[in-house]
Amino acid sequence: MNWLRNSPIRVSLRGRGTTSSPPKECDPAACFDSFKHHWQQAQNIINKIQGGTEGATQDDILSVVNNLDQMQTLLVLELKRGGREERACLDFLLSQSILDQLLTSSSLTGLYSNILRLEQLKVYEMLLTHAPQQQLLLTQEPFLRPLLRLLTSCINECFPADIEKRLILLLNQLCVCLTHNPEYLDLFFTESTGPGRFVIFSLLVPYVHREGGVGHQARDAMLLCLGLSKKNEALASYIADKSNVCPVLATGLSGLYSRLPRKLLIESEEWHCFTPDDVIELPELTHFLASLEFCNAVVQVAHPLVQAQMLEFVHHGFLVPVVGPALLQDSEAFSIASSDPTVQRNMVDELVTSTAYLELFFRSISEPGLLKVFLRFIVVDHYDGERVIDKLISRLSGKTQLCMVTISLFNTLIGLHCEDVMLELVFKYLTCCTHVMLSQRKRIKDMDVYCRSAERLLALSVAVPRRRKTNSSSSSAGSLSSQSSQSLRHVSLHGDFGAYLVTARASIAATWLACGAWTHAYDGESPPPRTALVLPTDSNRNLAQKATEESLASVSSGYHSLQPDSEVREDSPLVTNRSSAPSFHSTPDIGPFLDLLLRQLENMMTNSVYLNLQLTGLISRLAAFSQPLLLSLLLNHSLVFQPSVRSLFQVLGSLKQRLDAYLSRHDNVEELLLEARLFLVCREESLANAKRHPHEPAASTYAPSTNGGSRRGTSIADSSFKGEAKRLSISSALSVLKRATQGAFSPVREQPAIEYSANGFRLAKRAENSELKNVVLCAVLFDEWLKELAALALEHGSE
Amino acid sequence: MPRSPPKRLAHSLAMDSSFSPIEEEEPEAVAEPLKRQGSVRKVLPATPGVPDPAKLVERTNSLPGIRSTSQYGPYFTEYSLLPEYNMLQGCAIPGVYCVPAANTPLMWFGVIFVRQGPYVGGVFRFNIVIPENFPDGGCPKVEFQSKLFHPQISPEGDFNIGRGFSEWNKNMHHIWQVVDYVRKSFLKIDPGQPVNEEAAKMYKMNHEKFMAEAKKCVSLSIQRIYDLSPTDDPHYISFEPFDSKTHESLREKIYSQESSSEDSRGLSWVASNSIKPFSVPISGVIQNSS
Repeated sequence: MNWLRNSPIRVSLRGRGTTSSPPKECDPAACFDSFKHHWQQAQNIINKIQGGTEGATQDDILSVVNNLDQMQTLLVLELKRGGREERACLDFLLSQSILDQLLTSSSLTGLYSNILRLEQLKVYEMLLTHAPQQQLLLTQEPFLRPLLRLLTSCINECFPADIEKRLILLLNQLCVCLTHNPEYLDLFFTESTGPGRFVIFSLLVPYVHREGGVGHQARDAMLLCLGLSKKNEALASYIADKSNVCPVLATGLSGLYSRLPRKLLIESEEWHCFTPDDVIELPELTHFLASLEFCNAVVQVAHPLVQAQMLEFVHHGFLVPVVGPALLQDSEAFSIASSDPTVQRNMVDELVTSTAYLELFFRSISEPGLLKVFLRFIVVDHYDGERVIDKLISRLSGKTQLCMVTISLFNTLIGLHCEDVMLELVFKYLTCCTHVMLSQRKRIKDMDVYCRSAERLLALSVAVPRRRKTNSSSSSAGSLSSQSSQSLRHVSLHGDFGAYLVTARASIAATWLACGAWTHAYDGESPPPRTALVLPTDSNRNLAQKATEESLASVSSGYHSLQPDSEVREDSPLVTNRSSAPSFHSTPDIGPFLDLLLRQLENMMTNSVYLNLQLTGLISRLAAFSQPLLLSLLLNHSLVFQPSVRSLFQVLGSLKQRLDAYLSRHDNVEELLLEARLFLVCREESLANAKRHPHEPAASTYAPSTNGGSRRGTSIADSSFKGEAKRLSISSALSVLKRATQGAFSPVREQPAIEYSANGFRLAKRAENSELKNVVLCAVLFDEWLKELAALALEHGSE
Repeated sequence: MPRSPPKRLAHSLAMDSSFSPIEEEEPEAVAEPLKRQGSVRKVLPATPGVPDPAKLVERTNSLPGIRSTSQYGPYFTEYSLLPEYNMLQGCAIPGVYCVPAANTPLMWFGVIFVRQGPYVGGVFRFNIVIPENFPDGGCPKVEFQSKLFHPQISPEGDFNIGRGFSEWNKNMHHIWQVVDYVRKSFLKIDPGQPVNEEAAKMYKMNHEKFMAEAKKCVSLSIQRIYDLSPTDDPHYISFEPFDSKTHESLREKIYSQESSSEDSRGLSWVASNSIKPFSVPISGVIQNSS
């Protein structure tokens, strides 16, 4: 059967003729002869085809392909052998214009033209791969001319997968080559490709949303082109003015967004944001994020001209028409108020989803330009007189999923450390200093030198009532063994206090660094209080009020049916009217954002533990800012505020009183506290363990290599799993959702949260105890949070 | 009981500190074999770092409760001292270097390079000993390790800090002021209320002889500059003769640190004369397409 090995049939079967590969040490002269011979044979057939009338047969094409394959093998051998003087085959290829002849013939082969096209793509790819100085090839007319003609002929063509693959590979190679040798870029702007046309880029655009390896390679190549555009005006203006890449990308985002699930099946009360695992489970979302990250990369590398156009299209082609309506579908402009509970429920579910998407987007982008477009869209853009941010703030009240995801979104927004966002949410209301008693204003900048604030915070710790005397038998049977209760007594969720300090220090330092480029100091002097905006404070109050009413009316489904619809309808236009007429009300306030957060905090005892985790985490994040106006409001125990202003200390103080009073009315609180603590500790540990082996998240392909990574992760993986530092913070560590843990620790309110099967301890009277359990969990969290705040106060004081 | 918080203070301080082990002075004197100078052992508390809780409970405090009784006491001490040290660093008092001991935040090692006055050229070591319930326990003590003949320094080395700070007012007084007071006491000799009568008398009666005694202290301090550390505390300030092989790279690093400014990052589009978000005029770079 030996004869079969060299038979053309077999070669054609395998598609690529590598069977008769000559030995490595073959004679160059013999190789050259063989090369010429193969070309002769191929040329004969080509001539026959060109001269003949019948056109090419399958045998003809097969024979040409086989000969070309042999020639390629010989060329590779020659190029690999190195030695500049011995490039007989290559020289022959160029001097005989073989590439030109192939191109001409392929256009005559009719049905089989794609086969020859594929073969040519392979030749170019091989030459670029193996030629020792590939860039010199580009200067060779017999190489470049047919290459450009071939590429131009590919425009607007639809190819089978194998040709697409080869074409994109070749384009990618060319881009790499040009990136290394940008001086040859002009060679690709020739008359033959059309005036001012950059054929490589035009060919890449259709593949930009393609999934899989081809799309990946095309996007890579495109980024290289965009990078080249930074230094080449001709290329930049071609991409910006003549290519349609920006609209293609922006509308691509819109298209992919519309394919995302509009409602999520949220199984857990705890869920508040997308984890990498969630993303992996939603292929549409994965696809969307890849596209968004690509846009981020485009903005990062491209010429300012292209960048500006890209941002413009993202704004007008994606954010305004697609994301805006998704976020605002509950407002009058976008929906007809409906009294149907299912419609309401659906709408709220969709709002939860779109809010969570937005939060994820903010974690996925890192380019300042792109971030600015997203942030401006939230803060500045109006939809029928309503801004997205006002709507989002109004959703901070309530006890629903929507509130959870909204808090999570604000957490991410504040984590951007963007001055404009903080100005809008917080400082706008504080710079005028009217929230502080006049006599106290110069104390805003005071540092807490001797730890008094931390002392006060720690003193707010919940008083554990002494266990009442019960029958010794029942207490020993029904409770934990004394040994384990001993060991638990000192269990802190966060290790010792020192760990809180380390976390606080890191968080304050990171925040301080990230605010390095801020314009104002927000210390009561800069900006000067008198230049502060005169705010129609009345409308803010109304916003907060309205939010509370709205959440009662529409969000919690139990209430809304009781509320007459007309009332809500009447209310809304009224509010709009009032806010549009500037009222110079003198009641000082701290703005709707802080106001709603503190209100929400007052409800801590009835909030779910998960909501409390989110809420306390957000306030802790705010407390890491060093700007005196905010710091004094949150952590200065002795500053005297206007009576209308609620301070964090006030809220904490009243919470402590209520917690103490509540717990003192119940038996066995000490035990329950230990159990709650154990529950939270176990939960934290299982979260930490789960995180140790997370799904390997798809690393951001287009992650910027130079910067950005340190300040803020560019991929979802970064922002969700920051490793040790993040793990140390209780609020964040406890709040990360892992589905793996859901079975083991079910939500508190429905079932007995804490079961010690070993000790046989169970909560007997479930319904009656569920409230108590929630309060106990709240007390534990409250205590730990006080430590976190005290640590922040200490670290601020020692700066 | 929390895990040795004082250690953390010491480390964090050492990191923040601009203290440099290299001084410009390079005394030619050859190091004598180890000579313990007594008082160092005396000032180290029996159990370094953690104040005896029993003692803490007894102490009266302006805010009884947390600070005195709980596990947080040591943290509060530490965090009351951190700003003190930061202030001292900020003052950059000429010729004086201080670093808290690694084992306790309550003792700071110090060394003063006297640049003028009767003691010019002297390199004197001292310890600042801070009361356990700082800022409430009165004035920190300053104890000199170097032998000094000075009206305000007792023969045992205790500096008469009470002369400057009769009563410690925590709202007015800070440790940097103590250090600066000590520095000034070497420039202009104050013979009033002396703790070394002989020195005071000599300063007033026989100025020449006093100057000679001061010179003696200077040369003695130079002779002992390379003495081995009398304590095993790693933050004790010790000196080595300058050796370009070991020290040159470090010195370059210190000098180069000053010039390299941190590239401040952050997001802000707020114009300097505005308090409106996104008030920076749209620049040609970000958005110039119409």
